[in-house]
Amino acid sequence: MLQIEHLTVSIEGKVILRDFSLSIKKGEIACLMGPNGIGKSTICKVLMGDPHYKVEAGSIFYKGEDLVSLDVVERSHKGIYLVSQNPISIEGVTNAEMLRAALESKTGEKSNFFEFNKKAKAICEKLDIPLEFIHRGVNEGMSGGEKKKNELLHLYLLEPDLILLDELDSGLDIDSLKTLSESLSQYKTKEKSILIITHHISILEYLHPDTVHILKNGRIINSGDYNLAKKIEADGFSAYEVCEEETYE
Amino acid sequence: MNKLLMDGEKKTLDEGIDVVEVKGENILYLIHHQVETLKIYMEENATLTVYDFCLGGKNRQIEVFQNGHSKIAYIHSFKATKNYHFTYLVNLRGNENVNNICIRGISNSEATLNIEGNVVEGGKNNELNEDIKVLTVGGSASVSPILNVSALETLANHTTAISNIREDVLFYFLSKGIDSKQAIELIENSYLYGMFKNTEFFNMIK
Ligand SMILES: Nc1ncnc2c1ncn2[C@@H]1O[C@H](COP(=O)(O)OP(=O)(O)OP(=O)(O)O)[C@@H](O)[C@H]1O
Ligand SMILES: [Mg+2]
Repeated sequence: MLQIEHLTVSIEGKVILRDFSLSIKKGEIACLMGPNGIGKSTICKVLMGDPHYKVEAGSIFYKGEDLVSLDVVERSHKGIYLVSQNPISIEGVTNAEMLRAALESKTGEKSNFFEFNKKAKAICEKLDIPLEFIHRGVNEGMSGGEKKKNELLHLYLLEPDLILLDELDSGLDIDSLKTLSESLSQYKTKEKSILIITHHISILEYLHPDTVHILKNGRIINSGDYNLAKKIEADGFSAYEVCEEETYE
Repeated sequence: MNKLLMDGEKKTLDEGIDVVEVKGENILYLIHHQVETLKIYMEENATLTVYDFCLGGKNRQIEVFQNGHSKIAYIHSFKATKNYHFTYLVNLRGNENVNNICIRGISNSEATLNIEGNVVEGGKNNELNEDIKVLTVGGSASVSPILNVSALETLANHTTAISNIREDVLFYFLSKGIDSKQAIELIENSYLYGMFKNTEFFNMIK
């Protein structure tokens, strides 16, 4: 699904990722962990095509296609979806208006009003959010957790293949985290992949990762499975570094 | 001078009317009106909601006279495809008048909004709220609020925001698969029609 090789990325002249490589298979749930400010959100934004980030070197292939040459809209149409760490809100434009425009743009067909409402309603029920969210301004006046739920409402309507979850779990209460994670795990078929970025393992209990990677100094310094995440949760990143040195000795 | 008397009505302003006298509870619609000047006189205890929608219309000057215990909500959206001057003068006399003006506009050219509130000495408990937002899309805007308050216990609020379409907002739309042209249209429509959603007026202008 996704192959990132030897990627160097900078923002405003500052290099954030250096010689970063990561691949995610079709159907895989990958998890990326790392200390604050290390470049996790940067990866998500680069994959989505945020023009502030400059790809200096390396390559990204998505479904066999050179991703760097695609613009943001094309990436979205081809199935990449980002749930940002802090979703912005847009006053005045409703979820329904935005989503209908997004669906029409993706399919090239006029969206059927009744089918759209029916589908949106079913998703609201699944996510345990009020139906009136559909006609609320995009994330307008919503709490942190509600915004995350709203972003998942968008996700289920747009049906992406590669889902980037940048700290979905931050701001979510325990019950919401469970509801949302379970809904994602139902959504995820063999055809879909998820990249989870998190500081806590509770989300991984519901969305069990196939691979866990640690990001440091601009690249992945260790990879493993769920047990690696548990180790990080218990010992922190600094403790982990000691372990790494020990294994080199 | 062409006068319209309103007494408990819902009406679309006819062309050529330049004075409105208001009694009771009323709604007045202005749709693309080529109004140049309009004077609104409010009787005591009268209320009026004005919905004013203007795409590339003529410059206009609205003057409002409230003489006590009256209430106006003036809700105006515009798109200035060419230079646009809008002047709104409020005269509050006596006690307990409320005047709320809310403007949302798009400027592709040059939009100038002059809002002047005079709260005359001798009155009490008057309220004036001005809430203005202009989105500049290849144009510019300037808003000059003037407040002359000589009366006791007056509450006057003014907020203005003039902005371009934010980059992060545009990126957000793009990341949902909406191209920039459609995104700008969605944002512009929210300015033009957002205040009128769920009103009869919305269907009249859409
Ligand atoms: N516009 C910018 N100019 C300069 N530096 C920036 C800019 N935007 C981000 N950075 C820097 O890039 C680095 C990586 O940020 P990023 O948001 O990717 O971190 P993160 O790993 O997601 O952290 P967190 O766990 O706190 O979310 C940080 O040091 C940040 O300060
Ligand atoms: Mg981050």
